[in-house]
Amino acid sequence: MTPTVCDLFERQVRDRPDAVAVRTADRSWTYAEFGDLTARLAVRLRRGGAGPGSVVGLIAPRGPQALTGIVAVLRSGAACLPLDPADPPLRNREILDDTGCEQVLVASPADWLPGAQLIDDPTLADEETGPLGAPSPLDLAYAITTSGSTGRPKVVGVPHEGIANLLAASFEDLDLIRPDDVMLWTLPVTVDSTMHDVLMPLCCGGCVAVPDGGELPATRMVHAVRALGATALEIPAAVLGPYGRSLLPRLAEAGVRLVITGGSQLDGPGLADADPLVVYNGYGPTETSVAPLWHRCDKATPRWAPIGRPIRGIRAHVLDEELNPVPDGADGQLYIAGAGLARGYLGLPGRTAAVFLPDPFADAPGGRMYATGDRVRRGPDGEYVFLGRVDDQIKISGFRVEIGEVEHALRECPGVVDAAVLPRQDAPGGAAVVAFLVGTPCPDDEIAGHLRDRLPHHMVPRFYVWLDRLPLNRPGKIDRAALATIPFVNAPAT
Amino acid sequence: MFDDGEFHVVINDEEQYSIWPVGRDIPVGWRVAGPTGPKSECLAHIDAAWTDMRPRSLREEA
Repeated sequence: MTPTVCDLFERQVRDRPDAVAVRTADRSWTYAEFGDLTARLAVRLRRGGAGPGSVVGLIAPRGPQALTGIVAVLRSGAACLPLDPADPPLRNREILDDTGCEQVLVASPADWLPGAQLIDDPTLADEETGPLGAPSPLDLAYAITTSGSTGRPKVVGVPHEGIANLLAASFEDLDLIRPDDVMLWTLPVTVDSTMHDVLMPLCCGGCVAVPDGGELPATRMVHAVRALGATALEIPAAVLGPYGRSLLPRLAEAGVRLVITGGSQLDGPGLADADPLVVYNGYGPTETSVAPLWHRCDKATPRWAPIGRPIRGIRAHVLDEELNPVPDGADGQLYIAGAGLARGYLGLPGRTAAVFLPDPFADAPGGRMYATGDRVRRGPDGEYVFLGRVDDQIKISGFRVEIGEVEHALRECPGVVDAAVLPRQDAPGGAAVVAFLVGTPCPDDEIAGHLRDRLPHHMVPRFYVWLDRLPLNRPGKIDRAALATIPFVNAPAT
Repeated sequence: MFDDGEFHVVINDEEQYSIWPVGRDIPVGWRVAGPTGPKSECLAHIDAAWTDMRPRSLREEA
């Protein structure tokens, strides 16, 4: 049976007690120390009723306390539900209630959470150690909040077997982490990739380097890498695509051997030019355990990077609207099956059933497959290429516009560093494709001229807006909701 | 998946619910366990019927 993250971490505590597990600018914790710290907090949680089958909230910004909280919750046997302390208390309260959280860990006291457990509570030093939780592979390891398209947020519950399968592939097949790696934790606590980024080192004897609080823009990454001696880190694709060419050589020089990316389509030059530094592009919805497909970028990787191929234990199907497989090279929706599937949306059985469907191609009876909502194509080399969202296909004057294709073509134009495209209903003269650009501004005609050589006429944007940078949301994706409200032209009378 | 048309409510041995379009062979390991009708009706039935989302093997272990 695949070991759980609890088994793997405990093995490291036993085998290498003196190795550094966690490091900040100010101090470090050995595996023995971090093991002890998290065991005491886990015992406290268990005393309060936490264990396999329960969910414990974690409200803390990225930092050593949040990391202690994640590991302690897992070691209690419960599932960890990370929430953002900057989010409105009302929203967080609602999510905690909906998921049946009876205990919450916090980095600092909050008025609206009187019963919460402080992570660095000094009385934990007196906590006697006791038996920790022993979750089964089907018990939930973590729960991640995703913004629903309408109404209340959905909380995806991911079982231990999902993250355990990804870790096994990360160690043994992909070489994403080695025991001598120092992984810089760059993402927010609330993003599922954080679970992968921090549990990988802790489950193989490596070190998690925690940078000082707050945002970690590209400009600060090189500094953080140098200060903490990092050899690996994750950079969102929305940042790495446009800025990778300038960033990667500096990271390589600072000692980084591996950059993990993902979160959106990776589109940019120079991904294999910082040899020996390797870029790995991971793809996956939270519903399929962080990233079940991976592509290792090399000299042959096109600017529009593939999302790669499925890891062990995972099967990918490309199906048409009637759920029939399409031939290689044809477009279809990507369905994912196998060891990585989430249990579903906590407390939302109907919405779970709508997207976790019976898998007609399963090798074992009764298997499920997750409908990703992503359109892909499988190439002759077995690598999958992301084409766009199924529901992103917009029509302008009856013609289909492929947002991703337009954005890619824009990034190929001289002077354009980054681009995002949005259909706007409020455009003068009716719905239009609007381009938001970062780089060296040039006349609209010039850009449109370039695009006409590459795109069908109806896909060439009618309006062009130059910005200092594209707005990103917390997980590091382009914030399309923010783009939708940017004034782009003399506002039409409405 | 297509939104129109009729669906079955189906269930597997782990007692996980889902839906499946009427007129297509139900995948191995799944059986009909509820009404047949528009997607919204099937999902509403599942919201009421699937009260414990843990897989059956995990429930039995506990």
